[in-house]
This record gives sequence, structure tokens and C-alpha cells, in this order.
Amino acid sequence: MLVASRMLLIALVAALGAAQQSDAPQMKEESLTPEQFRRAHERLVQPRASSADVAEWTQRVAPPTDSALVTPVEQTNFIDDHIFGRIERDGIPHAPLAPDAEFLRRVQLDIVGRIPTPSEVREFAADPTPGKRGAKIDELLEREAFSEKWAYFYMNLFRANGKMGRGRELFHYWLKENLRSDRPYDAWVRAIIASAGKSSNVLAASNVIAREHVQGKAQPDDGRDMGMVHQLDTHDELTILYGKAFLGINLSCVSCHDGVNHLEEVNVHLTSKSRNDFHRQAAFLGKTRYLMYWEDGDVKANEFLIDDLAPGYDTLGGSMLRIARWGGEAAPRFILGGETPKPGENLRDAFARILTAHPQFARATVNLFWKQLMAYGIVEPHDEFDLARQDPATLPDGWELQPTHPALLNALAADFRDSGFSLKHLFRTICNSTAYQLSASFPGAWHPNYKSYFARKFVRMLSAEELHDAIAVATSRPGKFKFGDRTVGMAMQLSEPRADGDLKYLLRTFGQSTRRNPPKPLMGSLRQPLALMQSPVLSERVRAGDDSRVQRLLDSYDDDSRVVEQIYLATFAREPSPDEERVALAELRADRTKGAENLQWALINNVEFFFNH
Amino acid sequence: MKTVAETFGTRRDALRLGGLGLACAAADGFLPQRVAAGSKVTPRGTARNVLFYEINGAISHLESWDFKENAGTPKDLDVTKHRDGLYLSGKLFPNFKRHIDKFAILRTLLSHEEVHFRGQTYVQTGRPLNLAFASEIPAIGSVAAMELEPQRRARDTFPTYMSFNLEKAFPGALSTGFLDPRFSVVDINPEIAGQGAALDQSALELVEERWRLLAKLREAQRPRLNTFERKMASYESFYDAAHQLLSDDRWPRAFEVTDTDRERYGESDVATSCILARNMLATDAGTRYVHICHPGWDHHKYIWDHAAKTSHYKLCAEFDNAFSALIEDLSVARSPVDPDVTVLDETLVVAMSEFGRTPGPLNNMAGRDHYNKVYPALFAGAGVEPGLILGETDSEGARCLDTGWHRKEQPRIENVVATMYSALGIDWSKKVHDTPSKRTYAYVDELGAPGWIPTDEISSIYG
Repeated sequence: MLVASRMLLIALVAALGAAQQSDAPQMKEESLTPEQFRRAHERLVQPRASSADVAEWTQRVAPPTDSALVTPVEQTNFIDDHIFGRIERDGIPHAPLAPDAEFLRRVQLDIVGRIPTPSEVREFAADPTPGKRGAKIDELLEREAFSEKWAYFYMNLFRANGKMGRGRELFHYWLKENLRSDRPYDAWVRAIIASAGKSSNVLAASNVIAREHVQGKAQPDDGRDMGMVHQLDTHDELTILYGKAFLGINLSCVSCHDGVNHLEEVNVHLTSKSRNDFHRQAAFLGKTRYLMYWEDGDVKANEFLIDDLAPGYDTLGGSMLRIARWGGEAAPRFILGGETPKPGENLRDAFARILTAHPQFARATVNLFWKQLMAYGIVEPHDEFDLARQDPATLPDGWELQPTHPALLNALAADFRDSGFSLKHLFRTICNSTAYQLSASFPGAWHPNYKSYFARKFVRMLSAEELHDAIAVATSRPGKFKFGDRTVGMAMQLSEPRADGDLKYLLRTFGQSTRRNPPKPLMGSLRQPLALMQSPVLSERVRAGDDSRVQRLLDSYDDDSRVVEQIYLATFAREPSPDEERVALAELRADRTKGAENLQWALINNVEFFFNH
Repeated sequence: MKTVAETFGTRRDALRLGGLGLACAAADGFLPQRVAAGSKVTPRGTARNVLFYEINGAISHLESWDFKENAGTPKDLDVTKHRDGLYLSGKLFPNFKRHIDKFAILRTLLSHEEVHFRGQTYVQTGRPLNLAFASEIPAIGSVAAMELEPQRRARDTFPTYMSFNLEKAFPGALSTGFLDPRFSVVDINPEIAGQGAALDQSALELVEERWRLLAKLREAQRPRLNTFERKMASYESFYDAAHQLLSDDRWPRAFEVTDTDRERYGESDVATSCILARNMLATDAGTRYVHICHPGWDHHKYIWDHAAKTSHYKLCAEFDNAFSALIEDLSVARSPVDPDVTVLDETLVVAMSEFGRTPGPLNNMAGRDHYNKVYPALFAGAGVEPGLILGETDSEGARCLDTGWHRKEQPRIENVVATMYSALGIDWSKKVHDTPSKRTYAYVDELGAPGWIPTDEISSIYG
């Protein structure tokens, strides 16, 4: 009882806080006053004696002896008030602003998934305009490759595979259109949750349901066989998916058992949730029916009719995936705020409305994109928010705060909501911040305690598709992927992960998803260099011949040092250091053609190439 | 409770031991902080190696190792009594019937799962899939690689855990979970290996030439790399290990497939997988845990249609050629460490699916669906008593009548896993506390999806 009322209080506080923020202009583009900053952050730096870990995490780190080396940076927007406010307050050293070449490679990989070409690097370096970084960000956001990369991201997130049937291509097109036209994000999420219609093949947004359906049996019995799709299990799976993707919370645990006596050491908030709470959340989908088409005794390629004519969520229904349900009543009630549908309101319309209006929707979304752009979320893991550990004022004893910058997370969420849930605005806000534009190179000794300050730009490995497309740009030899009736050159233009033979093997070792499995974090492994070093695909792409980069450079320049410089620009988006140039030139002098091929191969087989930094 | 260093050896040990140990310290690798040694059990230690053959998609037990004639049985199987309690189809297993007496057949496994993705995850990890923390659960082969790392010799360059065609399984080749990435599987795609991509001598020489340039450039780049996060520089240790492997001439030789091999093993992908698995074990260059995936057995439709590419006939023929030849070769090859025994004597071979298929008549698509109440596994080598038939099912192959081991509960995948750990000398009662999600990881988990389950090894296979 106590726990429940405390949770209600937290929810209330969160809701009130959100309301205040949306009315509070100081949380937006203008700077925080020192007083505002102090109020937003004061609790963060007070050590809590209850846990040594927490104390260590919050302790002030002694200013390093070489802090004089820190180059001051100009701060750009409200993100920097929070990031540098904490850095300066605690005397943490930070990296300098990234030079143009470093910024350009990073922002291109992040926004459009492609490294810059040598001419893009040169033009950007030569541009004297002061606002050129912001202009570059704007230009990238209007490229087709922006919608392609992020549609691919969402296709991975929803694991868009053959279970969508023909609807998958439509869904892909719809995602790209949403991204290109910057359709308000809350509107497309509502469309996904509430979509209903005669065929998933013509109703783009319904394909998330088509993907996530749980098959009940392999073959139909008769023409009205509801059991082809396991209706209840599908409600549960969709509830978990929406929780993770749109609210950043992991409801898998409470889909089988109460949180209490299970999650005490894992997630404080979820200990207050019961399996019945989960069922009442899933009950928003309880009237939904997922009907699979079939013909001549066989199912038709995953085509679904989706309507809202079922009687409601039945806790006595069986399950193929979980232990038997219990809990009696399952009238719809939102698991975070406790809201219920209005009288007569379609249950899924109500769910979509309530979910997108809840502050956690915007918070989870901005955190998801912060993670994509900054390598780590403000809350980690990004889909395992512990909602009892977001606010210093209500932090339970013995726990550390989950966000590194709670006030920043709220400010980003408020800003995102005020922008009309514009994803392009969110990209613009993060990428224009000085925090994003810090160098990945850190002068002096790095201390692990600096990590939560975002005192440098963190690196990330390129995804398998980014790696392929980077090789394609660097060697100017794209792939040849059949896509509908045309051939495309970039892996991220496709609607599904696809490659054959050697290339498939290479991409799989670099973590390409089959979209059948739950997503796995991309990790380094011996398999990757083994595959890349032996890859016939890579050998062919760097080979001097036809229209490869290496061949064109050898034809264009008599001067070996120009060839070396251009290969560096094309592969690393920077010029070689004198030492690097010396080694490379010796290789070309021994055998000009082979040397140039080997040089590009060696640069691609290099951490500087397959990390974004 | 032991410390990490006592249980796993320190990083310094790993470096001293060479080989893959050099590939330490990947990005965010996690070493268990608190390991509770179980000491409740005594590992057998009869095997140097484990070879796990996954009949992926689920073979019909009714038309393989637990033959039950029913309305769905075709007339052309040429079934004869092999010996007491064992009927075999001469049409499906003309070769394997010469080798089946090397095996102990356990007929009474019980699975909780009825869905491929979950079942195949179970087979690789030894526990039910829990999506809430699936990403931190390592594959059994990775746990074995961690446990066996202290035994690696300076000359060992091959990965401890290798798999073949696991990419075709529903979950793919599962990763190291919370363990350090250096214990990762190296999965070989037989389609590519079969084309000889991995053994082209001139290609290898070119890699070596390019490696020399790469090494020099890396030195010139060092001041710059040192300013980046350490995970970039430590990633290079994977490159060093990969190069060490590629410059070991045993590696390309292990990919050699002779014409005689092809004749005996067949032309299928699983034939390639079996030939390469044999080569890896015979080379004795560090590979100790091998997982072969033989996909395609999901016979919901047209199980007896000769024209179908993956009919039961077709896949049994692949199995019959490849697996028989593999067992034959392992039973002839002398152990590289003990000339008195064969490689089979020191390798525990396990062959099984994630579950069985529905007994009785075929479904309305002339196929058999998923069935988890009872299904068989084959065991051989490493002290397993040849010719045992353990457990008994009813006349339909639908229910267990006699479990075939010392407990009244049917054995499960957990017990197969305990058996493999035990054979390798690994204390399977160990637990790792404080995983990244603050949970406890048991090598063999006594809490299965249906409740508490025994974690014993299946000792009855040893007679």
C-alpha cells in the first residue's frame, strides 16, 4: 500500500514536472541562469553515504594537474548548459572542439550513414562561413539518405522481416515518407498502435502488428479460424514491444510474474507493478482481432485483417509463451499513469492518445536518439528505464540515479514536445550542441569517472550496413543490391538485410541483424578481422581497375604523395600525418599499383575506419 | 567463494598462455565478479572435446531413433529390427546403421519449448529464453571456452569454440553474453568454406603482405590512436589474434577437403561442416568445443514428398552420409595427445534436436508438427557405453514410460548440458553472481520455465 501510494506520488510529480517544463521557456534554447542550473543539479553532487558506489559516482573528481591544457569551448544551446554546467562545476577536464574534418565524418555517419567523399571534405574545410556546421546539419537532414538510414533503423527496431509479407515494402516506404516529411513522431506512433483495416498489405502502419503476431497453429481448420494467430499472446507481445520502443520500459518480466520478490535488485519501479497491471495494460488491445488470411487450406503470405470486434482481454485464455495467466479483471488501465479510456472511446485510440501524451514517451524518444548520436544514453540501458530512479528528490535509499543528467533529459523531452515531436528538430538540437561536437581525442589522462560527464565524444563501431556503405564510398565501388525493379548500391537503401555469399558472411560477423532475433549489442570479436582481412569483397573493391577509387587516383596523379593524400581523404576523411605518409609512400614506390591497393586495404582494416569517432 | 583470478586465471596468465588469450580486453568485456564454485558435484573429465550435432528444426523421432509405425509411416522405409529394442530404416540410414552401435540412445528427453526460436536458443544456452536479459546469456560453447582457457598451450591458435552453419539456426550463432568477447564462437559458413575461399594460398600471401603494411601504418598512427578511447586500441588485439591464426599454416590446411572426403561425406553443406569439424579436432590447435548445425528439418508439410528439397528422405540422406563418415573418421584417428586412444575416445559426441514431432497420423498438410513431450538424443565417445538404449516410450512415441536414468522426471536439455560440462571436467554447479543486470547465472539452471528441475548429468549413458 505504501509502495503503491509512493509510486502514485512519483507519477504525479513526473506529470506535474512535465507540465511545468512545457510552460517554462527557460528550459528551451536560452541559457540556464546559474540559480536555475544549481536547482536542477544540486542533488546530483551530494554524496549518499548509504552506498560506496553511489558515493564514488557522485564524488567530485580532483581537478587533474593538466587542466590548464583544456581548451575552452563556446557553448551552443541548452544541452551545453547542462553538460558543461556539470563539467565546470566539478572541475572536470574535457576534450576540445572537434576539428572540421572530424566533425564532418562523424555527423555524416550519424545523420546519413555515409562517410564524406574527398571533395566534401575539401569543400567543407575551405568554407569560411561561421555557421557552416549548422548548415551542413540542415543539408544532411534533407538528403534521401537520411530517411533511408533512419527507416532502416526503425525496420531493425521493429524487426521488419518476412512475417510482414508484402506489407513490408509499404511499411518501409511509409517510414521513409514520415522521416522525409518530418511527420510529427507522436502521430506516427499513434498510427502504429491504433491501425485497423482490411489488409496489412495496404495499411502501412499495421505491419508492426503483422510482424509481432504470435502464430497459434501452422494450418487453418476452417474459414473462421481465429486460432491461426494466438490472439492473447499477440496482445502481450505488442504490449512489451510498445513499452520498449515508445516508453523505454521493459515489461517482459511482469508479463509473467509480479515485480515484487523478483526485481528488487533490478528495477525499483517495476517492483510496484503486478502481472495484473500488465494484463490491464495489455487489455487496451483486448478488443483487437488479428485475422490471418488463408486460401485453399494454406495461409496466404502473411496478410492480416485487423479490427476491434473481440469481447476483451481474457485472463483465462491459454498461452503458448507464458505460464497460465491469472488475476481476474483486466479492464484497460495505463501502466504508468493509471489513465483509462473515455466512455465510448476505441480502446487502441485511447491507448495511443494516453501513451503519446505521457511525459515518458518524449523522454524515452529523446534518450533513444541521444544514444544513437552520443554512443551512450542519458539513461542506460535505453529500454530499461527505472522510473523510480529519475528524480533526485524521490530516489530510494541505496540506489543511484539512473540518468547521468536528469534535468537535461527532461529539458530535451520538453523541447522535443514543444517542437511538435519533430525528429529533425531533435537531430538538429543534439548535433548543433558543443557536447556533440567535442573531439573524440582527449588530451591528457582519461579517468573513468569522466564518463558520466560526456567530457569527450564517445566512439562507436559502425554497424554492418554503415561499414559496407563506408567501403563503397571510400573505394567508390558500391554494391549491387536488387531492390524492387532497380539496383541500389548502398546496404541501407534496402528494406531488409540482404547480401549474398562472401558479403553476407562479412556483414553477419559485423552484427548485421537477420531481424528474426532480438537485437544483440554490437561487440568486437575475432571473427570480424578474420572476415574482413580475408574478404574477397574488400579485395575486389580496393583493386585498381574499372572505375575504382584507386585506379582513378593512379590515372589522375603522377605524384605518389597526391595519391596517398587522396586515399587518406577518401578512407579516413583526413590527411596523413608525415609519419603515415612516409610509410605509405615507401609502399607505393615498391609497386605503385599494388602499393595503392594495399594502402586502402590497410586503412579499411583499421579501427579508425570502422569506428565513428 | 573463489576470486575471479582463482577461477579463471588472470589476464597475465592469459597473455602467458598465448593464442587467443592475446585477444584480451575487448571493449566493454565483463569478467564475472563473484563466482561461487559449486563443489556439489564431481565432474567426470573423460573428454578433451565436445562435438554437438544439432539436428535443427526437429527431426521426427518416429522415423529415426524411436521408430513407431503409424498411419503416417510410408511403406518404403525398409524397417528391420537392428537388435533388441532398436528398429532402423535401411532406406534412410544405410550407412549409419553400421555406426549406431557406437552410441547410447536416450529416448525420453522432455522439452518445455514448442517454438523453434526458443527451442534453438535453449539448445545453445541450456536454459529457456528470457527476453528480459537474453543479451547477457552466453552460449554453452563460450562458457566452455572460458573454462578451458587455462589449458590453452602456447601453440594453440584456433578458437576454443567453433561452430559450423549456426548462422542458419533461428537465433544465429549466439554470442558471449556477459563474458569477454574473446570467448566468442567463430562460426564457419560451409557455403563459403566449401568453395575454398579460406584456403587460397596466393590470397593468404597477399593478406600477409598487406598485414606488414598495416602493422607499420599502425605504428605511425599510434600517437593519434592513443588519444582515442582505449576500446579502439584494444580492438586491435582481435586483429593480432586473427593474424596469428591466418599466419598459422595449420589453419588453411584445416579447410582442405579431398575428393575422397566428398565421396564419403557427400556434397551437402552439413557434409562440409562435418569434414571441417573433423579437421579442426584432428589438427589439435586449440579447438575443443564444436557445434555443427544441420538445418531444415521443420517438416510441417510434405514430409514424405520425394520432390521436396528438404523432405525427411533428403535430409536423412545428408545426415546418413556426413555424420556416419564423421563418426567413422573420429573412431579411426589417433588422439594427438595419447596414441593409445582414438579422437572419438576423447570426444563426447551428442546429436539431438530442440524437440520432436507429432506422433500418429500426418497433419492435413502431410507433415508433422512440433512435439515436446518426448524426443531422443544420441551420445558417443568419451567413455559412453556403446549400444545402450535408455528409456522407453509408449507405442505411439507420445509419452514416456521409463525415463532411462536415475530420476523419475524425464531428462531435459539442462541435463545434457550438465553431461557435456562434466565430460569436459567443468564443475557445472558453478554460479556467477552480479551479472551486469545484477542477476545470478548458473552454469546449469535449476529453475527452468516449468519450475524446479534436477541438474544432474545423465550418468546412465556411461553404463
